[in-house]
Amino acid sequence: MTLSIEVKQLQLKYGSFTALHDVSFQLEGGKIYGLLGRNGSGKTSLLSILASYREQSKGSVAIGGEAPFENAGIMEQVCFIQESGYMNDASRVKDVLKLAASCWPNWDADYASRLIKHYELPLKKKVTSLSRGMKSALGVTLGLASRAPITIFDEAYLGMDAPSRYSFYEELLNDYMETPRTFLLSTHLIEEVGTLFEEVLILDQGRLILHEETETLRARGAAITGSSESVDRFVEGLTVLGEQKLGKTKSVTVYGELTDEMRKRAQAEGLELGPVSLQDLFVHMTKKRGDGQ
Amino acid sequence: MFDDRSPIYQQIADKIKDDIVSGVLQEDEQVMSTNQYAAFYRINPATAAKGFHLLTEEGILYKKRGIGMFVSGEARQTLLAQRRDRFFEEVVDQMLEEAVKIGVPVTDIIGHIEQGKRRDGE
Amino acid sequence: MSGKRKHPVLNVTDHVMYSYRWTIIGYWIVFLMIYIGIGILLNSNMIMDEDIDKVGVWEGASVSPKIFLLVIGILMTPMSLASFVSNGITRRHFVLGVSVSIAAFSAIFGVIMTAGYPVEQLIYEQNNWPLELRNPHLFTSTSQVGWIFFEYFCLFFTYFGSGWLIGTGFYRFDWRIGVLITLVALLPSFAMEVLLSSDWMGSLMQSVLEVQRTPLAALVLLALLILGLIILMNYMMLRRVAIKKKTF
Repeated sequence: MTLSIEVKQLQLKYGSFTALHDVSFQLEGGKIYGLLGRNGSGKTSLLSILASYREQSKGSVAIGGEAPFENAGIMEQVCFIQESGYMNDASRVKDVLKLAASCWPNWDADYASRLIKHYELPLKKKVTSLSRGMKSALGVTLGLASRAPITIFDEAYLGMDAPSRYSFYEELLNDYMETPRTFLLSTHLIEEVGTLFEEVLILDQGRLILHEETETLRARGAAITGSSESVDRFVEGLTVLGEQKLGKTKSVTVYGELTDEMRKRAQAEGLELGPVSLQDLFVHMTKKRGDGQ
Repeated sequence: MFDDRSPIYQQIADKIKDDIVSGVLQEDEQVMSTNQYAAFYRINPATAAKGFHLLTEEGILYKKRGIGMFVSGEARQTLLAQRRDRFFEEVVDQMLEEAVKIGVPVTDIIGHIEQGKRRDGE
Repeated sequence: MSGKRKHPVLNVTDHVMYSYRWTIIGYWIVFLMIYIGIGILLNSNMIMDEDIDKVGVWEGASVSPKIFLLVIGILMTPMSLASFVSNGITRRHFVLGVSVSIAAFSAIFGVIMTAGYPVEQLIYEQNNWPLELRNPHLFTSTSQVGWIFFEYFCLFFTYFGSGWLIGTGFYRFDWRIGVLITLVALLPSFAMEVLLSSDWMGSLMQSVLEVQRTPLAALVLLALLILGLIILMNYMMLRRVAIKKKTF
């Protein structure tokens, strides 16, 4: 089952602070989505609203066409896992799993035991006594085994060491291919997970600045290097994300489709066209003026 | 694996093309499925599918419904022809351009190539 | 996928009761041992004090379980709400599930209290100790099992509920408003004590203030109203509450 997610003019305020400004997007579901944003950009706020952890101040959310907040039929389809989690710290791992098993309609007990074995989760220990990596592994286990039609990992895997993280990516991908569902991952480790995303959303200071297919995004970034004058002439009218200067040479990162004609023109002018990584695009797009160069 | 720079589906398509040209993938041989590709390279299956789609559009792969993707009969020839065309445009022309820029006469280049050939022949 | 799943409300009840099972069993073991000890001490002339009445101790035993349930109640929202909502349970189902748990706990406690009377009677009769009810209750004889149970059930429920309101108040608001809510939260328990006029409150109401007991039918209705009100007040505070990460 795939559930669509439709967010319209979403706003969230904490007192006088506005965490989300007028965010709108539509996800058709059944894909792996990446939500990128710097710390404090509003990622967790947005995901919390999708998971009905809190209610928006303004605007609307529809999951499968219905408002999710306090909607039992929708809430049991959306599993939201955060790194440090909302589990009861005083419970034992075994009891946390037992609760999850009784709550999620699609809970896959076999899959859960496989993951428990894989991550070597100590069932009898209390959640408080787990290491950060183990807590993350427990979160990942809950999220994957929930088989919830919408499963959200909010940097849930950051506490794991690199080998465990990679095994999580593999696990996620395999599970997604076996039983397609919607995954929504927030992260700033773009290099690592970027290849998993079919679509990417970028939040910056509470605003959605981009929602694009990952591959399109990759194709749209370009670094143009050459003499200052010709670079300036070439990028006129393009969206410039950032620029660097070294003597008379200038390198400008632009975002947008470069037509064949433009590519030829660049070649004719002796400009070098290079690709830009997702991570670089993200950094450029979310750079604040005060961050310096 | 992937350089995270140019579109990954493009890189996948290029890898498959390389395999066909070098003979690793034979004509009418079945190609790994998109899911196998995705799992192997740890990429989104939709991305792999996009690369495959590109190749079917170019006539390099064809689809057998319910079975999978196969290398077209003329794939290798097509690709070789393409590469030959591109060879002069992308390799030779650019080399000559560079030679002119740094002042290497064309005769020197030809001389160098023939020397190399003779050495290979020995 | 799974065909038969428990209703979320009952699922909440199940998990709440499961989480506190050992706490409660442990509590009763200690509590009963202490009370049996007191009864024996008072009546076996080990304490030679003329001023202490050597009568039944059980009717005054409900203070401790009331406070115990109040404390468990305070823990309810801060300890469990986040973990239920993060498992896809709505706040409404949480409130209802906790309400059912409170009813179940109060019933268990009520049954133990009720059962205590005949047990006490048996012990006293065998030892030829004098036994009488000294304070006013809804019941006048230890054989009125229904009323004994009802009295304790209502009292335990409201104390548990008051605790729950306190915890919910602190969860929902900052500590200043939380403190104010604490005062309001104790009102239902106070009201229930006045209404039922049992034990020390009964003595106060009937002997000192000379207030007549409300007719039983109205009393039952009012008691149920207070219980309903507790649930409603919790729901009003929690229905739109944002889930916080750590509370303790």
